[in-house]
Parts: sequence; structure tokens; C-alpha cells
Amino acid sequence: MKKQFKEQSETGSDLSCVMEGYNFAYLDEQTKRMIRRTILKAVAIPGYQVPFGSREMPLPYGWGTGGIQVTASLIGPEDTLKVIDQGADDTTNAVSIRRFFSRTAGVHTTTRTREATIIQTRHRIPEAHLRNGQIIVYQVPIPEPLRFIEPRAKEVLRMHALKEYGIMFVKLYEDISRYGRIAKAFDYPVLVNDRYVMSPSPIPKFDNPKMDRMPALQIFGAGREKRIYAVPPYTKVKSLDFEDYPFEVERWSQCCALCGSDHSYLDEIITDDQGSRMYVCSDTDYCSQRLAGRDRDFQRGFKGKIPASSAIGTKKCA
Amino acid sequence: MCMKDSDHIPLLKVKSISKYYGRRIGCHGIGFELWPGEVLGIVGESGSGKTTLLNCISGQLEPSEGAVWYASNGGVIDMCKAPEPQRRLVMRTEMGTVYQNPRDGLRMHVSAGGNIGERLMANGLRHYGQVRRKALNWLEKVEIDQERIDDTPDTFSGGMQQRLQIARNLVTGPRIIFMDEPTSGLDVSVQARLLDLLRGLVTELDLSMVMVTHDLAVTRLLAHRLIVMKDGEAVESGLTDQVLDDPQHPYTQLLVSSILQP
Amino acid sequence: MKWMIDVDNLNKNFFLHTQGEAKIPVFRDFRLKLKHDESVALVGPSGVGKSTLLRLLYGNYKIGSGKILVRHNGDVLNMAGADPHMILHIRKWTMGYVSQFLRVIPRVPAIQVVMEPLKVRGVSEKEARPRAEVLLTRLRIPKRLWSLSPTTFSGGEQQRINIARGFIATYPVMLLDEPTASLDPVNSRTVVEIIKEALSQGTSVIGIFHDEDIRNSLASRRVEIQPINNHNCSK
Repeated sequence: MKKQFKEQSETGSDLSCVMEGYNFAYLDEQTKRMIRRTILKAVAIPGYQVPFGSREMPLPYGWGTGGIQVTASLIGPEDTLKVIDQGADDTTNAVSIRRFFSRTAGVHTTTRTREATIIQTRHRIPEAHLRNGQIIVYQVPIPEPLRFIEPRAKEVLRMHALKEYGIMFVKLYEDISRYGRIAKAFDYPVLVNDRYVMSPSPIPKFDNPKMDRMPALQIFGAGREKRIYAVPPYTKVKSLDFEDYPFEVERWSQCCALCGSDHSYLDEIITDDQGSRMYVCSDTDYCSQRLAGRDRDFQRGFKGKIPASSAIGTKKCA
Repeated sequence: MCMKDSDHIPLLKVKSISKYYGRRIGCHGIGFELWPGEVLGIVGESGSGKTTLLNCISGQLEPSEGAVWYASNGGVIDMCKAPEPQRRLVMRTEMGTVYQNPRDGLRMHVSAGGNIGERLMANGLRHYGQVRRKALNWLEKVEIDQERIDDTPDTFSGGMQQRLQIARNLVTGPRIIFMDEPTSGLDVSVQARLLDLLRGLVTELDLSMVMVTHDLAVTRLLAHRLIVMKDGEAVESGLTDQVLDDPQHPYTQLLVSSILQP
Repeated sequence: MKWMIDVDNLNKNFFLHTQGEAKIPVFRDFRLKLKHDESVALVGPSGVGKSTLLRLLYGNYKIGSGKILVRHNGDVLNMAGADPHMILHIRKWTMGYVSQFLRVIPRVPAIQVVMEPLKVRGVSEKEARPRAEVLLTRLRIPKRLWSLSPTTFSGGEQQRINIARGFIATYPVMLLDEPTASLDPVNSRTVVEIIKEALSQGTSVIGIFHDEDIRNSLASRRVEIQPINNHNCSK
């Protein structure tokens, strides 16, 4: 189990040491078994939150303890892991979780979406289409979509059991009456397999349509709340809405300042103290893949057609 | 002489309902029939088991013994034994409950429109415009200014909160309404307005009502029939005017003689 | 001759539990038959139980023993032991009652109070309103009062509202408890007219009329109610 290997990250840094004294992927085998049973149940009942005995992890709640436990229970030596935080592979949380697994499990890690077999994510779904056989693990802070509407936990369980979701629509009604539209921009509630209302974790609603009939297996882990739920491949996931106020994703008038994409989720970056800003893809891998592809095209002779720099700050997209 | 079909079947048949809290008796062996368009008053002093009885027959409390047969739109069901999904479906479509404390019956942080719309949306209405129109319509019916549709109930007066509760319940066109002391805690003038509204709705919608109250004057004006409760038992029952004008049981006589001009 | 109401062996006592278990007997083996088209005036000294009899007939007082049979909707029903629901049904369609008191919900306009007996029969407001307006006009209730609650009206005005309410729907049987009390002569005459119209339409009446002339002009028969000999309170 303990095999030496090189991290495949783009920085190429070599974390060759797999830590001694820990079980493979940190968790003991009994715990993994318990979590796997929970996951099986979650897959069997799409969208239903299954309670599990969440363990203390060597990082604080809110840093992805739920996602890590799910990943640790699923990962094997042959797997390739990608971890993103807000779409980026190079933020603190993503880097440390990736390092955690390369040191405790010695697995391959990557930043390439299509190379990964397991993708652990916080707050985004990669732009590239996931394929069957991949597993995406979401880190979930609050799994219960009804939590802030109905404070009684017992009543909430009953509402799920009896599929009484009127109150969910009261929330949307309130938004429209107050703001003229459904104002929820992230963690937008969905109905899974026409049965359970589910919180998709705080991903932007931009990503909601990707969940619908996704070929990859989606698993959600909430460490502090001790809940795991799942959406099996190709399952119907519908964002809640009204007939006269249908669900819509956000749009930008800009394109990505780096790769020129007009269809990906953009982050706004303040570039100086004068308030200058640029919009770039939140999915760093997707952006760099596009840039690399364009460079290849450029070298092959599509000269002058899509100058990379001209996309910056303009509305014309590549 | 024309008579409606609904006159021939009771809407609710309560068969010797008892509720025990351990050894203490909540209510004991109470039965009655309620017909469409009828208002039944349950009177008695605090602790006599009125609210326990009401909760048992409205499906909110499981009685220790007895049965509550309800002639729902889909056939007669025993509210005590029906599967929970069916019971709750009936409760939110064909029944309504107006609580003494509006905080129990309203969502205080949700706008008036949202409060009225909840049942509609729970029953599958997915059209904002229609929810909105029905909410406005009901605000008008219960005499709340339509401009208040987006205000939350905690900005409403006590009387308005009670009327909003009524609208919230009636929006799905229920056939029976349960009320627990709906007028206590209101000013006399506000109380009169509420009584007037209720009476109008009962006639207009052919609504049945079971109303718990300690106010005999209210029952005189609203209820067709009365059950007088003492220590968990029904000591007397009958037509409201007969019970109040010719009370038979010593306790009822005491109750009637203790009030000013019922 | 077809009868409308048949009172047979009626007994009624009041028990006052709060006043030392006092027993007050009112009727002993009382009998009365009201025929179709007949108008009966109850006579007897004050306190003998004339109003009590009307209230027993209407189901307002509980019958001690005996029978009060009522022809209702083709059936014969006994008011003693009748289900409250059935009594309400009889009151809605068969038996009207004009008492000396008007009891209304505060804030309800007079015209609505008058229309109510029709509306509970399922008559639309559109149809009921003109009939209420005719009665109110005949009874000289000023139009400006129609939309006000009768709670603030004078005694005479309240009584006329009561009569309008009592006569807006037609009943096979009407019970009248001093309908002209507290009315001036002009309005009294109108009320007598209204009662006569009801009689001519086939309504049978049992009434208490204090005024000798009115009694003679309305009643086809007098029924004397005798005081019970043993009038002292017995235990």
C-alpha cells in the first residue's frame, strides 16, 4: 500500500514521502466500511440524507471534513484525485487536501478534470463535462434545504418523508415578491428524481443544470452535520421554480479575460486600488486547457484570428 | 322545498373519543356528529378538556380510544387510523385550524401573501401569478388592505393576524375549520368584526366549524350546537339556544347564570 | 283535516339546581292540535307558560315528557328527542319564530339580518335583497338605517327588523310571541296585514297576542292555558 510516487501537479513538486504509521487514506477500515454502507444507501435513495458516524478529522469543521471522509472511504491506490476549491486547484484548501491524500494514501493527484477518477470539490462543478466512471465529491456545510424555513428537525424529517415541499416554494415566492425574481444565487434547491428536495451545497446556481442527468456519480458529504447523500449517474435533477418564473442561470456581459470563454462561470478580480477589474474563469483547469489549446492552434497557423490579449475587457468573445 | 344532498350525510362522526395523559383524563367518551354548514361550539372552563378534544378530532393528537370518521372528498376515512400521508393531505386540503395564538398558525417571518399561498403551493400550484392573485383575493375577503400583502404578520394587529390565519386556512376551500378560542385576546369591536366575518364565510362557503371557547356570548351568535364540558366529560349537549335558555345540568346552569346576558 | 302540530301529553318542569334544587312545573299532560290553515291564539294569565309553550314547540326549551309531533317535509317528526341537526332543519324549512327579542351579531347591517333566513335556504343575495327591501319599506324602516347594525336601533325599530326577518321566508307554521308589542298603532296595523297575508298563503299560526282587537282579527281559535294547580314549588 505504501508506495513511493511523484505528485503529478503542474508545479511538479515532489512530495515523495508517504507518511508512516497511518492506515491507507487515514481512516481506519471499520470507519470506511461504515461510510461505504452509508454511501450505498445514499445512492439507493437519490437525494435522501443518510446519517453517518462522522469522525474527527485532522482539520477543522468547515474545511471539508465531510468530503474528505467520503473521498477517504472511496479512494483506492489506482485512483487519481483532483481537488478544487471555488473552481481553483491552487487555493489553500485544495492544495492541503490534495497533499493530505498523497501523503496518507500515496495516490496520484492531478489538476486535469478528465484525468481524475475522483474529484473533491468545494463550491463548484468543473466546466468540462464529467464522464461515467468519475465520482464527484461535494463538501457540504448545511445539507438540509428546509433548515432555515422550518426550525423543527422532526417536522423537517416528516416533510421529506411525505414529500410536503410547499414551504420550499414559499421561500421562492418571498424572493419574487421582494426582489421581482428568485434571488437565490447559490445552494439553489433541487428536486432529485422527482422525489427529494436536496441542497446541492453552495455551488452557484450556474452549475445546477450540470447536475441533471450527469454521467458521473455525485456524492455529498457533510462532516459536522453527519449526513451523506448522493445523486447516481444519469438521475433527473430539477431546480425548483415557478411556471411563470422559470429557473435561470446567471450570465455575464464579459468574457473570460484570459481564455475568452463566453460560457463559463466567471470570477471578478480587482486588479488595483483604483477599482480596475477583470473577469476570469473560476475553473482554473478549464481556462488553462483552453489557453493551451489555443496556443496549439496558434502554432498550427491560425495566426491573428484570435489574439489572446484582445479579449481582455471587451465584450467580443472567442 | 329543496334540500341539498349534503344535508343527508354527516361530515364528521366522532365516536366516544377518550384521551388519557397517564392516569389523568384529558377527555372521556365524547361523541357527536357534525353536518355540512354546521357550527359546533365546545364550551367549558380552562382545564375541562376542550382543547384536548379539539386536537383529537382535528387529527393533531392521537386519542387513546375512539374513532373520528370524516367524509372526505375521496370517501369516509378514520382520521385516527388513516395513514399519515393521507391524513395530512386531508388536513391541509379539506380542513383548517385557526389557533388561539397566531404564532402557532402563521409563519411570522413570511409575508402575508406567502402565508396565504403556502397551502396552494403545498398542493402543487406552481404559478407565482396565480398564487399572488388568490392571496390578494383572500386578503380582500378577510378585510385586510391588499397593500399589506408583502408585509410580515408581526407588523399586523391581533385582529388582522387572526383574519390572516383564516385566509391562510380557507384558501384551499376546506370543508371544516377547527378554531381554538379565536376571539379571546381581542378587543370587543375587533371580536365583533371577526364573528361577522366568520358567520358570513360559514354561510357563503357552506363551511362546518368546530369552535372551542369559554365565551358563551360568542357561541350564541355563531354556534348551532353546543357541547358543555367539565372535567373531561361532556355534561350536556344540544342546540345552542336550548342549552343556553333551558340548561339541564347543574354545571351548565351555573355557567349560564354566571355570565352577563349571554 | 290535516294537522301541522300535535302536542300530546306534554310535561315540562324547570329544575333550578343553583337555587336549592327548586322544581317549577309548567305543563302537565298538555294537549294541542294545530290544523292546517288554522290560527290559534294562546290566552291565559301572565306567567302561565304561553311563551314557554312556543319555545317548547320551537325546540328552544327541552321537552320533559310527551310528544310534540311536527309535519316536516312530508314526514311526521317528534321534537322530543329529535337530533339537533333535524331541529335546525325543521327551523330552516317548516317552522318560523318571531320572538320579542332581536339577537344579532354586532356590525351586521339590518338588511343582511333580514335576508339571512332566505340565504341559509340557499337563495342568492340578488333574489333576497328586493324582498327584504319591500318588507323594510312596508315596516317604515328609513332607508338610511338599512346598512346599519340594528344593535343601535330603538326598541320599536328592532322589533320591526325582527318581524321582517321572521316573514321574509314562508313557513308552513309560524310561532308569534307578541309580534306587535312595543309598536305604534300604524306599524301594528302593517304587521297584522303581513300576518294575514301569510295566513292567506296557507301558513298555520300559533301566537300570543295581548291586544284583544288584534287577537280577534287574526285568530280562528283560542286556546286557554290553565295554571297548574300545584303551583307551589315542590321538591
